[in-house]
Amino acid sequence: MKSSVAPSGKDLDAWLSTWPHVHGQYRSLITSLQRRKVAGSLPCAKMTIELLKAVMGTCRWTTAAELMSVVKRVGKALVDAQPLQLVVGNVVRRILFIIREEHKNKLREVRAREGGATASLSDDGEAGNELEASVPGLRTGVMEAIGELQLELDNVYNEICELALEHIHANEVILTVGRSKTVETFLREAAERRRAFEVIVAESAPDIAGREMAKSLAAAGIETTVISDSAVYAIMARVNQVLLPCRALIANGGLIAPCGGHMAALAAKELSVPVVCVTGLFKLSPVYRHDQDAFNDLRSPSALIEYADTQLLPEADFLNPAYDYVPPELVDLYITNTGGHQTFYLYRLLGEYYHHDDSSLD
Amino acid sequence: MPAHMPSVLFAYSYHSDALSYSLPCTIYFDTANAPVMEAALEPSIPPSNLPSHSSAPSSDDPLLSVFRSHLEKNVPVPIAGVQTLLHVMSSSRAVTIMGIQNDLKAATSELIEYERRISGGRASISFRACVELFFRYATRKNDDVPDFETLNKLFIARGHHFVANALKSRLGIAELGHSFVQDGMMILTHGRSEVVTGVLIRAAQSNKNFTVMVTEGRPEGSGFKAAERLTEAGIPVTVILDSAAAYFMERVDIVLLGAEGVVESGGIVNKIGTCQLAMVAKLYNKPLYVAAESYKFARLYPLTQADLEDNVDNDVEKPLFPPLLTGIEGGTATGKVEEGEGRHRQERGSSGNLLGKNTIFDSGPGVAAMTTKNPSCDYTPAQYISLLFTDLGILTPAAVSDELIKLYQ
Repeated sequence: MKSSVAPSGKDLDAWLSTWPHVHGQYRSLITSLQRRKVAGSLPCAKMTIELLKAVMGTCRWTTAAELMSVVKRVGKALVDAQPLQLVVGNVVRRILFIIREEHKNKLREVRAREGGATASLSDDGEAGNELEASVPGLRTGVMEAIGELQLELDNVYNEICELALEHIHANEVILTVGRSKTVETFLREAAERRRAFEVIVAESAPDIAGREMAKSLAAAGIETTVISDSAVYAIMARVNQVLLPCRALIANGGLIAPCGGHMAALAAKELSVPVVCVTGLFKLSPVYRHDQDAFNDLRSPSALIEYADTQLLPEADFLNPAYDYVPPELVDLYITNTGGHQTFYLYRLLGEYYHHDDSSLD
Repeated sequence: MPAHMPSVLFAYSYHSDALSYSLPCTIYFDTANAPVMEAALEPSIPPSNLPSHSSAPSSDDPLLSVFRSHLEKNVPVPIAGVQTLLHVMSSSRAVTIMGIQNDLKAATSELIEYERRISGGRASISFRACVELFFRYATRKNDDVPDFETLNKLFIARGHHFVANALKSRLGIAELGHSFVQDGMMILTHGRSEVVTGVLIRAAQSNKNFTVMVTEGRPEGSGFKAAERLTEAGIPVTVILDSAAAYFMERVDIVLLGAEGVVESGGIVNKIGTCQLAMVAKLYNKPLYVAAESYKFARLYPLTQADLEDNVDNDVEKPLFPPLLTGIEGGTATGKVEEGEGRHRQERGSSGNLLGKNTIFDSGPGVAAMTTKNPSCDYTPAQYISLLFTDLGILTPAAVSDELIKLYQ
C-alpha cells in the first residue's frame, strides 16, 4: 500500500507509475514542455489542467491538504520542465486556490449543519490544521470548479473580442509588435464587425513574426502596414493606440512582451499615445521580477547570422533575446476576458485567483 | 537655572541592544511640567549612564514596568504595548465590558504618552494603529458567550493570538522579500529598520552576494546600528552621508526601506530623509521597496508634510547635532562615543537655539540667533513606492487601502 502523500522530485515519477494511464500523460506533457513542443500559452494551460484533473481523479487522497500536496508536487515538476512558460505555474496555483475555496465552502456547510456556536468560536484556528480535515463532497466540488476554469479558458478569446469595438474606434491607427493570437483575434473581430481602421505592424526581427501577423490581418481585410522595428518611433506620431501582445502579466502590473515591446511602449509614452495590452487573465502570474533577464529566453542566434558567416566575425557575440519586461507605468490599460483593468488594479485580481501561501510550489 | 528651562537632559536608547555606537535622540524634560521621572528611564541604559536625578520612582507604575519588561525582550514597541494591554485585561478588576474598555483606554493613553517621551513619538503612528487593530481583533462581539468572565478570557486568548501572529510577521516578510535581493546587487537603505535587516540577513543566508549602502541616519545615527547588524551577519556594508544619497544613486540597484507607518494612500511615514531619498530613486528609475508589518497600517491620509504633525509627535525641537558626530572619525563607524554622560548632555541656549554645545558648532554670537528645526519623520507619497513587503503578502501601494478596509471591517 503506497502512501497517499506524493513524494517530490525523482520519486514522484515512481509514485505516479502506480497509475499507468496518468503516468503516461504526465510523462508526455513533461517531455513536450521540455522540448517546447506545445506552442502557445493557452494550449499549455489547457493541457496542464487536463493532466491535473486526471491526477486528482486517479490518485489516492482523502483531505484537501493531501490533494494540494499532490497538485503542488506534480505542478512543480511541470514548472521545472519549462520554467519560462509561466502559465503552467499559474494554472497550478489557480487549482490550489480552487481546492482551498472548495474546502472552505464544504467545511462551512458541514459546520453549519453541526451547529453554529462551535463554528464561530473556532474561526481563529490555524488554517493549516483545517485543511487536514476530511470533508465530504470535496472531490465533486473541486472537479466542478475546475470544469468552470476550463470553460473560462475555452471562452477566453470570445470574451476579449466582445470588447473589440469599445476599444478600436473608426479610422484609428493602431500599432502592434510581433505576432500574437490574442491581438490578431481582437483586431480581426473589430474588422468583422465592419469597423474601419488601420494597423501598423512592427515586423519583430529577427523571427519577423510581425510579417505573418500582417499577412493574416490583411487577409481579413484590414488596411495593414509593415514597418521595421527601428521605425517604431518614427511612425509613432501617426499612431492612436499601441496594442501590445503579452506573454505573461506579472504581479506588479508589468508585463512580459515579445522583444521590442518595451521600446514601443517607451516611444508611445514619449508621444503620449495610449498603450493597451490585450490578454487573457490566465497569463496573470503571481511572480515579481524587475530584472530584464529574469524571465527572458535567449534564442538561437541563427536568425541573426548564419553559422557559416560567423567565421567572418569571430570576435563578435550574437544574442537573440525573446522577451521584454514592460514596467507597469508604461501600460495604460489591460483588456482581459473579465473586462478592461488598469495596472494598479491587477493586485486585486491576483487576490481573486491565487492564495499568497501558494506563491512557492516547494 | 530659570524655572522654564529644561533641567534634565540625557540620552536614551530606543532599542535595547548595542548602545556603543550611537546615541539616539537626546530629549529634554522640563521638571516643572513633568515632575514624575519614571518615564525618563529606559531599561537598556546601564545604571552608570543614568542621570543622577532619575532615581525618581521609576518602577512604581506597574503598567510601565510591564511595558519596559516587554521592550527589553527586543519586542517592537507597538507589540510591547499590546502585550501590556493584555496584562491590563487579565489583571483588571472591571466586571463589565465597558469597565474593561475604560481601563484599556486609560492604559493606552498612558503608554502612548510614555512612548512619546522615550522616543520622541516616532513610533506613535504604528503604536496607535496596532492598538486599534488589536481592539478590533480581540474584542469582536460575541453574542453567544454567556458571561463576562468567559468573554474576557476569549478576548485575552484572541489577543495572544494577535501578538503571536504579529511577532511572526517579520519572519514572513523576510521570507517574501529576500528573493528581490539578487546576486551582485547594491542595495540602499536609510536609517535602521529591523524588518529591512531581517530581509537582508535572510537574503545573505540564502548565499546571495550583495552589498548594502546605509545612510548614517542623522541626527541619531541609526544607520550605524543597522550597518553594525549587517556587518555582523557578514554582509559588506558602506555607510554614507544622508546627503550623499543622490551621489550614489546611480550605482544602486534597489532601495529597501522600513516604515514607521503605512498610510491609506499606500505612502509611508518614515525616518526623516526618506522622502527625498525616494524622489532621487524615482529620478534614477530605481525600484523602491518598503518592508513593513501590517500592524503599521494606519487609517491616515496625509496630503502634505504638515499633516503629519497631527499624528506624529514630530518634535522639531531636538538638537541638530547630537554628540554622535564628535565620536565618529573619517566617516566610518569605527569611532565610539567617548566620554561619559557629560558629553551627551545638551544645553539649550537662552535664545532657544538647539545646536548644542559639544557639537560641530560651538555657540558663538551668530549661533545664538539661529533657529533650527529637526522633525523626526516625513511622509513619502505612494507614487515613489514600487512595492510593499508585508506579512499580508507583497502589495502594490494601491493595495494598501484595500487591506486597510479588510483589517477594519
